[in-house]
Amino acid sequence: MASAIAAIHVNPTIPWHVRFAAAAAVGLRSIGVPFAVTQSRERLGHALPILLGTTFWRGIESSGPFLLVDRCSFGSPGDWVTLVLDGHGRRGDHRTPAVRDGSRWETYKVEVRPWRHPQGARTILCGQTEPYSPHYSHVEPWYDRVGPFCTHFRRHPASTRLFSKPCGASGLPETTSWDDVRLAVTLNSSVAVDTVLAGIPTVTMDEAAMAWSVTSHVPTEAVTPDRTEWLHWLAWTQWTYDEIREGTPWRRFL
Amino acid sequence: MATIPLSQPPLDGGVLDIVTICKADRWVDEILPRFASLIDTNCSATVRRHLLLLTDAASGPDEGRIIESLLRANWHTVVCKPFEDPYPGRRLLAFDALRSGLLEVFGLHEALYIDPDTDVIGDLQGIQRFAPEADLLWVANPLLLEPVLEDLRRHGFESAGGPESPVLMEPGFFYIRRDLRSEFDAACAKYPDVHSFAAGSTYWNMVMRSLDAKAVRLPDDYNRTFWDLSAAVTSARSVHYTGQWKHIQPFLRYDRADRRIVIDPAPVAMPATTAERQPSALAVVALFRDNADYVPHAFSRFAAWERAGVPIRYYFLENDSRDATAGLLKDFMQTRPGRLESRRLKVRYERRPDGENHDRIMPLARMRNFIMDLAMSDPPQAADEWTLLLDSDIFFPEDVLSRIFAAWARDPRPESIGMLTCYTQQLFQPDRIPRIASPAPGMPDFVICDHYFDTFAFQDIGHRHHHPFCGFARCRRCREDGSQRYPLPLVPADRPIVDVAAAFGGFALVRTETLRDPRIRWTTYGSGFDQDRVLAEHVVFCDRLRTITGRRVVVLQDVDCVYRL
Repeated sequence: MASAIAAIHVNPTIPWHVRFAAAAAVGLRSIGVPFAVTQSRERLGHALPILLGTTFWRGIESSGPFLLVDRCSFGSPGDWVTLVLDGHGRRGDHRTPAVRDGSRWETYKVEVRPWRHPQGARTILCGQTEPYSPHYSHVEPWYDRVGPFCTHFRRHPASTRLFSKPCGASGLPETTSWDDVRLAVTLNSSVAVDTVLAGIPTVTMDEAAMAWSVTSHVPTEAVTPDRTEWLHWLAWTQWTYDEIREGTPWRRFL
Repeated sequence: MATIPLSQPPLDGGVLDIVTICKADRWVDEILPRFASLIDTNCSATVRRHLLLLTDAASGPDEGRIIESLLRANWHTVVCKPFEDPYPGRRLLAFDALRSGLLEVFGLHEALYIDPDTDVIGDLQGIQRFAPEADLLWVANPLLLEPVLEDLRRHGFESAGGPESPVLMEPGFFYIRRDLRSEFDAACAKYPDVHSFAAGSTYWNMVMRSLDAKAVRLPDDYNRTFWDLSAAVTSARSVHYTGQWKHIQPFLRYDRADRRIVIDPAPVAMPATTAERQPSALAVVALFRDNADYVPHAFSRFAAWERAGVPIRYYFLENDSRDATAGLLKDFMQTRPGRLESRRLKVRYERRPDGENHDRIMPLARMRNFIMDLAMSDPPQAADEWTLLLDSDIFFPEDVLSRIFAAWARDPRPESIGMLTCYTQQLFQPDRIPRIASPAPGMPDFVICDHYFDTFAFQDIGHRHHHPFCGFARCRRCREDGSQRYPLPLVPADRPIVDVAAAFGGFALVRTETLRDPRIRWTTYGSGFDQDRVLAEHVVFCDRLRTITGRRVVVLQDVDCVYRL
């Protein structure tokens, strides 16, 4: 008999996993795709694993193709998810169309502010909980590298303390404000999309950063390129729950 | 009120995969919750439930709600596929055919198939170790279905009028170690002219007989078909209802204490499934040194919990090991969230047998604080995450979390408990306590005598320290050692949840939110120049936890399946 073509790997104790699985079930059913929903940390036969989040499925990620359902780059995480094949962030394949006009981006009416002139006094180092990068096994060595170029530290929203161990950024004062900012510096965090949309010149230092193409990669350098083409691309990297439920994105990935 | 005796108590065992098939119709709400609940209630260790959910054109819009309810009920895997009947007009034959290919569907190597309208009322653990060379383990159907027998005789699978009564396989309960789809399809193709009454049963019996020695009959108590009160279900571990009894199934309740079935006047509410008895997420914090012999035990338990769907992050501090401990921990942590720290201490702490001196306790407290601070610097995986504080050389069964949280849920004020500890028992060599020993379940080389091991960390609710005695009335060793004249009050044996001033036991669960307060950490105090007798670091930890949070520290006397060498 035909086995499942896709397997949604879920942790049922996490509310958004359950919500997404329910929406995806309706969508996959609507296009006639046999599927499985599983708590397994291992691949289910030949089914393409649809992995919810990056925390629980590292064993599956390291053993073959997968479709990652990740936090959205813009908009509310309650309304959107990012879908990407075989990698995290920009390192994966978002299956965007070859020709991307602005229609999808314009549908969602997300505010894009003009670039701020890079004349502020503060360079803000944006923290991460994990590096998710082949260049760094822990975030501390990256903090060591960029800390000397930064004036302030902005902790990741999920972190309860500034640093888990002393590092090159330990002495930086903490900030939550974007006032008087010259540069935002991050490794590959989604905060870079927020800062670019807010018009803050941004530095990203790992190719997985979704804002890689509109940011500098040197911690002292500010760039303010045209963002139009990037915005049109970005709009095709994430999908609404309604689209998931209607089955819209699945044919691109299965 | 009619009553029927129940089956034998549980065996211990490993992971058991149970699969079933159901259409996406009213059975999802009416039958599957009872099926899941009874499996979780009565089967020990880790059981994973798998479901093949068959959809049709009418069930589309409801799919999201069905998936949501199945996930909340902790189904491990649900495969959804449209129902296609390759045998139209042949009653239920398509379902029998599906059963023969279920392993491929779920990517399993072996599994137990059970019809969903079966009540699992005893422990099925251990069935996976029965006749390991066999491809099919089957149970007999006590109903001799004449049309099936006639077909088997007509096609040479059963001799007519032999000396022994014929035995039919019941295709609603069997254990398979390889898919039998090709054999089943071959039988269907070769013998199309069988009675339509129970064609699936006929073909399964043909397959079973053709497998010869590779098909092994299970003891009858694993599953009984129930068609009458006088039927032989009194010792059954699972009961499959037929005929009129299908209709009464929702009214049946299983009284474990009296080992009987009770027929209630109203539909019976089912107990919670494992999903409701597990923590949402877990952080494990542990110290290790020279524990290469021990860590595989802990890893096997962690892996089982992961398979059961508990998200876990791990924080291990290893120091100065001279064996393979560091490498084993590193391998384990390669694909898991958390942190492994391997350190060399500047001054090795003392490991004296009495273990109560400052130079041992203070370094231990500092190491506990170091790894706890690291664990708490990462965000929890769920708002109601618990943190397991685990010592090395603590042995525990896979289902210990279910037992702990089931005990916790029975407390009248579970939200007021901040720290759950077990009644960790000391393991002894049999010759050490010959007169009072009883077997230690799952630890064949050792015996137990209800002696609570961590007497150093234990202080009863009146802050009385019983060390070196254990302070529990049930302990046969402390009583043997002179507790007849014991001057302090003992904790009665009939109190399942014991409030204490301090306890640890090598296996304790604390709400993660509590541990994010950096004041709730370990230290010790002496009383002058004598540094050979200081306070256990857990006494200070528990005191801080109780006084800062206002929550209770308890010992779960009924959770006594945790052992210390």
